[in-house]
Amino acid sequence: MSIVSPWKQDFPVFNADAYPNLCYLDSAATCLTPKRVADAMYNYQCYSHANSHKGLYYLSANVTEKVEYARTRIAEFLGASSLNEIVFTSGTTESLNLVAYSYIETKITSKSNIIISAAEHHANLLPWQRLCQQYGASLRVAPLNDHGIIDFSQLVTLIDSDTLLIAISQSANVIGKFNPIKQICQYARQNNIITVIDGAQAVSHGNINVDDLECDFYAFSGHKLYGPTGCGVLYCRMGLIEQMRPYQVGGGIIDNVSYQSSHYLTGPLKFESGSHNVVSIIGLLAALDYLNDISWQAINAYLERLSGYMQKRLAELNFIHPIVRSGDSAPYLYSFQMNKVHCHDVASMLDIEGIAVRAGHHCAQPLHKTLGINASVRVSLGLYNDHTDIDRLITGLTNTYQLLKIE
Amino acid sequence: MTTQPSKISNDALQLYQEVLLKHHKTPTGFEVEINNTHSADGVNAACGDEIVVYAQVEAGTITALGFSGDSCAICRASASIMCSYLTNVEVDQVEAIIEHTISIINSTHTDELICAEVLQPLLAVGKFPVRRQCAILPWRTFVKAVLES
Ligand SMILES: Cc1ncc(COP(=O)(O)O)c(C=O)c1O
Repeated sequence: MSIVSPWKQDFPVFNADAYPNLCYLDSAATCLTPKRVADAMYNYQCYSHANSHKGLYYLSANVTEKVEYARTRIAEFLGASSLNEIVFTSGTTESLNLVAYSYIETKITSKSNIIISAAEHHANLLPWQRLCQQYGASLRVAPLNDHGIIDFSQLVTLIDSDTLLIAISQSANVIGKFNPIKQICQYARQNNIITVIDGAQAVSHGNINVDDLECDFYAFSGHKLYGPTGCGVLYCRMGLIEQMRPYQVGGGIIDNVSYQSSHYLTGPLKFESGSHNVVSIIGLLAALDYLNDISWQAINAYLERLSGYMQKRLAELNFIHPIVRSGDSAPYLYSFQMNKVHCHDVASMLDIEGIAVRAGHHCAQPLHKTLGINASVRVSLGLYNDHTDIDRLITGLTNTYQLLKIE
Repeated sequence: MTTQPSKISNDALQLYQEVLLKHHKTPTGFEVEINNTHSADGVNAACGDEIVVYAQVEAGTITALGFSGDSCAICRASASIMCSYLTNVEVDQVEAIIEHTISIINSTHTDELICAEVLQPLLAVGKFPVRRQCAILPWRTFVKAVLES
């Protein structure tokens, strides 16, 4: 089967003078960078850089305008109704911590409970775990079904009148399938429960509409959307920002300060203390433009086809086992174990052949424990992958098994 | 669809040498039962290696060693080598031996190194920096079990 990426040449890492033979199967960790994104960042930094939101001179005003334009575009991308719902952070991790300490901490008591799912990345576990420990609240864990998806009916049984928050991923980073978050968020809203969606993995599928999902918060990182690291986003539903306090304070977030007291700005800027990471925001904007120009429809059609091929080829190897049952969907990643061969050896053997995959617990240690395993190998797809990457992976896995299997 | 038979690359074979694979597949000391006087567990958080190392020390001499746990081939082979190498070694000498072994694992200039034959398979690991921690884990865990307890 021939599935050839029309976009691979957009990524300079595959140039003849870089890594022309790289087989990169770790886009769920971070996506490679298209030239257009790198150029936008370079050009900004060389020719337009200044401090945003502070200077009154032309160069600075221009940068402020760019950052606010990026905010508008991100609001559109997420289906948010206003740019005032979009906060710039350094990534999903900061976005989730921001919700924890700017908002949930002001509401939590020893009676409260917070619900997460069994599949959460540590970024969407540790902030809630720590808050619960600090305030004597309880952390409840919604189980997954056989396919690795949050079981709505079981989640509902965990909810009671003291449930303060449900914090779950739209798509978890080890399993990659989509959770029924719309159903969960709607149920939560009817019951006055706050919802936080970790969109770090789902964001690379586009087609997000926070209004339709009815979530209160939605977090993602630019680098999982072909942008740079250092820039993330937190969507906060209209009205919530006014109830929140900045958890990190400093320049740029106040309208009036004396030695004894301060009055914070309204809107998202009150969470963006210090100087903005403008170059990263510019990079994220360029990534959005790049993806829009390709079209989400084309991106998803391509990746679904490639994923189907990947799932089919991997299913043919009787010495590897997916960590959850595969189903009808073709998520852009696949996590598995190899019979009696440790994940680290699999990753090492593949690395020697120029194939980059992830091995370990992928920042989801409790999930692996729940599944009764220590670690897994994860392969994940991006725009630059094509069928030859899958074929190389299959050969690499076959060789690994041949060499390292224990009879 | 069939998978093309393909040669395993020389680089892979350099790391996973025959002797090392032999230790991995038929390890010395793996899950052996001894009357252990010391034990400790070690983990490599980054990759998920988990090992328990245990030893029997009698009158200042290590009379038996064993290990268990779920770890990669490099870690298992290194633990197996350690079990052969440290049996009947006096506790007083063990620290120097382990420091020397770790320096072998960390070295990229293996051509100039003189080392005991049993340690030879570990020489290749230095050229694969991300795997050094796997080879070192059993030795560090042994130090924790016997010298730091
Ligand atoms: C599901 C999920 N949540 C959160 C994160 C954390 O993202 P970041 O490291 O960009 O803050 C990741 C990154 O791997 C992720 O996959």
